[in-house]
Amino acid sequence: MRRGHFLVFMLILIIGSLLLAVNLDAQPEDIVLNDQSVFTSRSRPAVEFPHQLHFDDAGIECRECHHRFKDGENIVDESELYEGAEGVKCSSCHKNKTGFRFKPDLDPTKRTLRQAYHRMCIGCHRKLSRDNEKSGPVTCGVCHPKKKETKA
Amino acid sequence: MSLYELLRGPLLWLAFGVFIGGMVVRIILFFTLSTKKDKPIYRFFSWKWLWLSIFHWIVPLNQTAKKNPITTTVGFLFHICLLVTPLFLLAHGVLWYESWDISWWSLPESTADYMTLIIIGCGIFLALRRIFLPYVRVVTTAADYLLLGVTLAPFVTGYLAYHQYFDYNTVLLLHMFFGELMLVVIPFTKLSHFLMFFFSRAVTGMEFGRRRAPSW
Repeated sequence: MRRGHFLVFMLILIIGSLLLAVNLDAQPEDIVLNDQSVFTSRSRPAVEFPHQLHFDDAGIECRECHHRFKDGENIVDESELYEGAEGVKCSSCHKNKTGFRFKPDLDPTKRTLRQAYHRMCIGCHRKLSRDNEKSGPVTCGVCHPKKKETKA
Repeated sequence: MSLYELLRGPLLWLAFGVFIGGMVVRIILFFTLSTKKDKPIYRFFSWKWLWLSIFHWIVPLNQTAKKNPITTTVGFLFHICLLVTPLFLLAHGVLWYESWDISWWSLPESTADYMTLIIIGCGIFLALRRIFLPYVRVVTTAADYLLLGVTLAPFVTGYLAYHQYFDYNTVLLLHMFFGELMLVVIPFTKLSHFLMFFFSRAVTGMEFGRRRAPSW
């Protein structure tokens, strides 16, 4: 009996860590924000966005950034958020024009891709910094460094 | 509060307040003083001479411009770039949007970059002119060089910040500080000519107009 318990326990542990590993593997670490279809002429160098840093180190929930609004409420489910999933990227809705609807019954977008990125990143970083919490960059050149070395 | 938030929040509002409030006071002072001490303006008030005078000087259609083609060209380039660049800079447009949800037109970054260099170059020309032309030097005081410095500082630091020369964060904070300093200084100095120009031009135009001796 005790041996059986142990086996079941081990099985749960193995399957659990496998699931966790698969799940973690599905999260891209760093993403270069460089959508060629939307940013046809880039004014600044593309941003290297440390995706993993945000949910691992900073402990931010997926839904704090990923969203799909219906009547002003974020209805996106975490199960919909995996690499390659439909609508997981900002640029699937935010393009050069506003007003796109992901599905006919969902709210239209209010921001272009550039506006969406800036609002998401700077808005959150400024809020955290005002609350005296550890935060990310808020000025142009830190996210868009001319040279790699200047990125502090 | 970080220095950035301080410069972007409370100090910026203070600068806007002093700038706008100060200019309102300047306009009120113009009217209270002139109604007391310069009554002929109102006795011989003429929209015709007012607009003609402003028009001939806001475009280079006057004797002074014709006699000094180089200074006129530099002056016009300087002023146009000075007004247009900060208002339609892409990076400032992002701030307009972030702060007040205002979507704004913006210049291509390389164009704005050249326009900033034009401002700095013209500024240096204007400084040299004060140093080397005797008839300009005689009416120049230390305050004039200081004001030219205050005017150029936001553009020099803006140029350095865009190219990320030196320590980016320090340069950017200096850029914000100098921009706000310039706004604060405007109502108290001759930089107020950005608005008072129209008043003095109108008064001069009417004064010479009624004598049928237009001032252009």
